[in-house]
Amino acid sequence: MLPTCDRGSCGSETGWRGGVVGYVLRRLVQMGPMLLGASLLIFLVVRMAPGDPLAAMVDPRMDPQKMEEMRARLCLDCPVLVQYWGWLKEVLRGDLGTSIRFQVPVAELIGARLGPTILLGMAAFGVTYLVGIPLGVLTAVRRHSWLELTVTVLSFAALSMPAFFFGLLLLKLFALGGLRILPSSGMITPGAPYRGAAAMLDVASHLVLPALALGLSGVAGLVRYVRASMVEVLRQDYVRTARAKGLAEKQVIYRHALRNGLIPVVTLVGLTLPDIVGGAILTESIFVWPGVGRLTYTALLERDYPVLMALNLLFAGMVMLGSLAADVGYALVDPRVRYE
Amino acid sequence: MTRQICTAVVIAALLLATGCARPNVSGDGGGPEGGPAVGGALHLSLPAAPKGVFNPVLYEDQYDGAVLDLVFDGLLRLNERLEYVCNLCQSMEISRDSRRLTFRLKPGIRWHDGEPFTAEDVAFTIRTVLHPEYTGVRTGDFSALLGVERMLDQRDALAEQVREGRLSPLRAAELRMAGWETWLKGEGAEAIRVIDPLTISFTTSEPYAPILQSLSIRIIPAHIFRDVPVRQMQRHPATRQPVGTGPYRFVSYRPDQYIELERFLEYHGGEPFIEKIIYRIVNQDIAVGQLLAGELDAVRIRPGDLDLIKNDPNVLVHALPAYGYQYMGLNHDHPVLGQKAVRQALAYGINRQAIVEQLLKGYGKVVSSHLPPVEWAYDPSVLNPYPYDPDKARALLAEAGWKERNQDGILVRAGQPLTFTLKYPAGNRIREAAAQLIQANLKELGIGVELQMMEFATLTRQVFDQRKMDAWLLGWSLGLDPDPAAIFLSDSKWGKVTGWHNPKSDELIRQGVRALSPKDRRPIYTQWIRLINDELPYIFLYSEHDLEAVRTDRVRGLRPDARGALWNITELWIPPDRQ
Repeated sequence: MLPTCDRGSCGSETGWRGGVVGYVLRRLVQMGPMLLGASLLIFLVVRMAPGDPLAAMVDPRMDPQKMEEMRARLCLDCPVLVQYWGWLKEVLRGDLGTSIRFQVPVAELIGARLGPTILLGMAAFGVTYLVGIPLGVLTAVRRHSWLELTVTVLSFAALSMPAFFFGLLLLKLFALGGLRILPSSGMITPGAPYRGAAAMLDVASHLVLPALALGLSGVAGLVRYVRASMVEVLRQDYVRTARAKGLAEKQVIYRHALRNGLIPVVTLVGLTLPDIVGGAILTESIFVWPGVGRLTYTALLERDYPVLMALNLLFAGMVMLGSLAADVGYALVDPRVRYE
Repeated sequence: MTRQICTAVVIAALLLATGCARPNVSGDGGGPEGGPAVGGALHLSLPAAPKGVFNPVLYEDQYDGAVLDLVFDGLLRLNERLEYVCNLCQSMEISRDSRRLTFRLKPGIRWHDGEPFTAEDVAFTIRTVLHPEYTGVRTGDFSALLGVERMLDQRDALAEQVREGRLSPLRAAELRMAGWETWLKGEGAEAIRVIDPLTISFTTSEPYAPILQSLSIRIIPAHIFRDVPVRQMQRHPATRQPVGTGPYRFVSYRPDQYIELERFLEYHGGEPFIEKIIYRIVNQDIAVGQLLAGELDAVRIRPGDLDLIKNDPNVLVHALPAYGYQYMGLNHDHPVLGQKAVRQALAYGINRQAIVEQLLKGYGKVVSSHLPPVEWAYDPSVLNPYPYDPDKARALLAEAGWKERNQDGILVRAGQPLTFTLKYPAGNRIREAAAQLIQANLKELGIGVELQMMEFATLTRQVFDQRKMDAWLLGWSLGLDPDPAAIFLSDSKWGKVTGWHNPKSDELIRQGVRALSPKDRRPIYTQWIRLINDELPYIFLYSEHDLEAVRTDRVRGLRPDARGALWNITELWIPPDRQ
């Protein structure tokens, strides 16, 4: 998939730039049919799950006639492809439909929850990389030390701990049990009349725990990656050369080795995007963070088809963009990679 | 009927003054002069986000309903015996033939926006529900009103013709509107009659007792919705930002986070003390922790949470019987489950007492018939309680010819083994555990039960739409009127699922709604529950108590009863030092 080139045939600096732009454009165009295919697949899978949005309404007070009417109005008994075509026509016209549960336009529903999820995702991302990279480097540099042993043990423990349990543990330690220094759930203090900086601080304090829960779960994997890559780089000839030239160890590690050691990590950045979105479903549910993750969970349980479709497409798009970003990022940091 | 458990109480003085369960408003100290203090915010919880349809005629979601409870009032409310009494009205008069109810409204009631509340609002609310373009689910509640049944039958007939392609949808809509106009001018004028701005009467075709429950619907403001086409009411801003006559004004809803309400100073039932009510959307798994940390003032808990709470002296747990029960539904077309002797053997052979004692930790009761939530409706002493008695179950089975066992220890009659599949939904941990217990109990009798756990939506589809089942576990939650027609009338959607038919039962159900007074209805329902208790169209299992935990160091003035722990919201207050 990644077109690398051998040294002789690579273009000039301007050619390289043009290559990237063209490559990105080509990839973006390809995303169209891919999303279409994904949408059909998702639609089929979602409808294959038994039950429908009305099946949960087992209410003796519910008029059966009315239920039949609703079923007919929502075209729930139509053939699946007819339903898909109906949905697709509306989407191509720019209308994602109306949520069956919430009775408001899907775009509005998701739009209102996208901001919190992006905020949480970015914060978690920050946590993962700010903690993961230094730890990875440290463990690579100080191999076979007590430090490495501690980090290894801890990261394996973290890897094997389910995310929801980790979330509950954080809650117990910092919000509900031991230290009651952080709010336990939500995104803002209910009913508090905060404005400006105070309001931002309020959101920030609510953000700490979910961001830690979501972010730290990725650290363990990242540490292993960074460490492996750094160990590999530190064995290279040019590192030995740098040392032989009498450069300070710090300079060797941070100027020479780290830059090359992080190349595989860049790929990881794009590829962890879907993880963060997936993890958000759990984290947002535990901490009652008002984002798309919670929405996904509710929509799934209630078979809110229009919402599920829109969310899944959004996730599919993010996965595609993530892998594109990984490929492009790779080219930016690794001079050996060229796109035509 | 109501049972309270007092885990503990703050201080001895409070204990003495209140006897744990019924603190009186003025006696618990803490206010400036020892009386109730104004101010503060009460933090309540909702385990899932409301849909945001804050309109009493349109909402379907119970969490929307919880918010509406505080924002809107109905003509009638419940008293501590769960009988309907006047709320927005001063008096209710029932005509001698039990067909006409006349309400005198309380004078001087205002909407949250300051407009006066009148009989027009009441008439408008109910006419909205009956309007042909109404999109909600409550039309059927008022089918007993004069001429409504006929109008609804006409609508059904039109819908049928459209389905068969004999009529265009547009034409059908015109005809529906025409039928509506005719009704409004004819019988409708009598069915809902505004006599003067403070008097309104309703007339039914036949005496129909559940109409009281229907007429307790929360009233919406005519002055806001009058010019809105009924079809568009769902999207109207006032459905998201409601205006009611209840004790609390709606301030805002932050989707997926919280709802803020503010006290309504002109509330007709007296000015509330607590300044704000915040309904927080919580994660059920950590809500108890939030209660203990003081972040929440009241949460619904599960029996398993009681251990966490019992050491906190500031938490009161109020248990009240749920309006409903859990049952094992049976497909009566199944070759063995259709036999009454087998069904009775199942009832004797399942240790339902153990479910209540072990799984519900005693916070529930064994149920042996379809029991309405209100006590006035029946005499429970006529019931056979079907105590756990494996020997009796074996004897019943032997009498019915189930004597031999095959090599697996399963009873066999004429080559047919006594086995069935039990489907149950995932999600309710107590029900999941009950399924295991049922399987183990019945195995001892030689009955083979294959368990199949599935998602709720899958189960309801298989059971209620496709009838692909032998037996299943589910629960019913019931309205306050004892009429069981929706569940047991043999031609109703939910009633026909079992395949059980009994003319006597249908007759009693129909008879039960013709009398309006509890005293006349009681003998009919007593007879009916006895019939159901003997026939066992379902195996009735248990009813859980709802457990509400409230922080007593913050919430004062509590008088918990059958309506819940916080029903007297206008009397509750928070001590100034805890605000």
